[in-house]
Amino acid sequence: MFRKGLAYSFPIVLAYLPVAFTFAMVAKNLGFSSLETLLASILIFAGASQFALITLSGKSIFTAIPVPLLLNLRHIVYSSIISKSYRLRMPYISAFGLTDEVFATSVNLKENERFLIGLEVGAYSAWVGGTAIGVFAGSAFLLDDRISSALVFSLSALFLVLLLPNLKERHLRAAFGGGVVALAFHLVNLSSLGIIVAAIAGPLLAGWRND
Amino acid sequence: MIEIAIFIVALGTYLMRFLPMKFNFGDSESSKEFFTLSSTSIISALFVTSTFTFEPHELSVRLLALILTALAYYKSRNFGISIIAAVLAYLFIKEVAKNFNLLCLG
Repeated sequence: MFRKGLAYSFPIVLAYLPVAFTFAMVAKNLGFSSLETLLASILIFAGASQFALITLSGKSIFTAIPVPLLLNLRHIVYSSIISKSYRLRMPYISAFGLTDEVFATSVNLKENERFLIGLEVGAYSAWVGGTAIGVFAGSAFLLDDRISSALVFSLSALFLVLLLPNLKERHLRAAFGGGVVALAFHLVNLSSLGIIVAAIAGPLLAGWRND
Repeated sequence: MIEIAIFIVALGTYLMRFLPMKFNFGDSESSKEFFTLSSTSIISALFVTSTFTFEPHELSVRLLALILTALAYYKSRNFGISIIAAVLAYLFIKEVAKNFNLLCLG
């Protein structure tokens, strides 16, 4: 079952390698050391929040911490759902690699915990491996200004690609509401605060009610 | 300082993944819905703030490249391919815009 999980991680591996590579190059370009960049991928293993962390840490460390954590709130939902779909004997291990893609794959296939861990090991290896390649082999690209600005732009592309599959029903309204609120704050140079306000305002503008 | 931020985010992320598995957190439909809607809002907010710039020429290049990124995503449904396509599209559009400017000025 572990091997089956590993085999099923192949599409995730394909997707993670270039994104992790890009993460490493952007982080280095923003002034992060090789150790800090690798440490982020080894310890956090959550793409969007890692990008948010490196983007915001240049502005203020006090927004660089809560924003990635707010961004990961959805993992509470993922874990709750997985704990009901799988009989987990080692949740302290299974929990670590539960990314969006691992969750989506495992929740659809409903195998056992070994399968889940196989899936996570494949995805994690690609993420850390891709970051290491970016850290150790990507430095040549950073000398070129055009490549640097293209890699910084890849952050926008990443967030767009994460956003597109969610643009349905109330999520469309939450995305629109959050985007407008964030833009308003961004225009008055309060981008980081805008993201936190958007996290709360988005669901309310989408019609969320605490029943 | 950044190492501390990495450790806090890593610990927080792990606990958000581990604690609900252990204690069945976020069980009510209402809180689940809030978390998922909030995630979408944050991703949208990050998208807007990382894309918008006060420089109109750069903003045009980014918006054009994002249209191609969206097309690449809908065509491939693959995260990695879309990001590679985005970077290549941006480089291509920037180069074309630069040459076009040179031609106009020349």
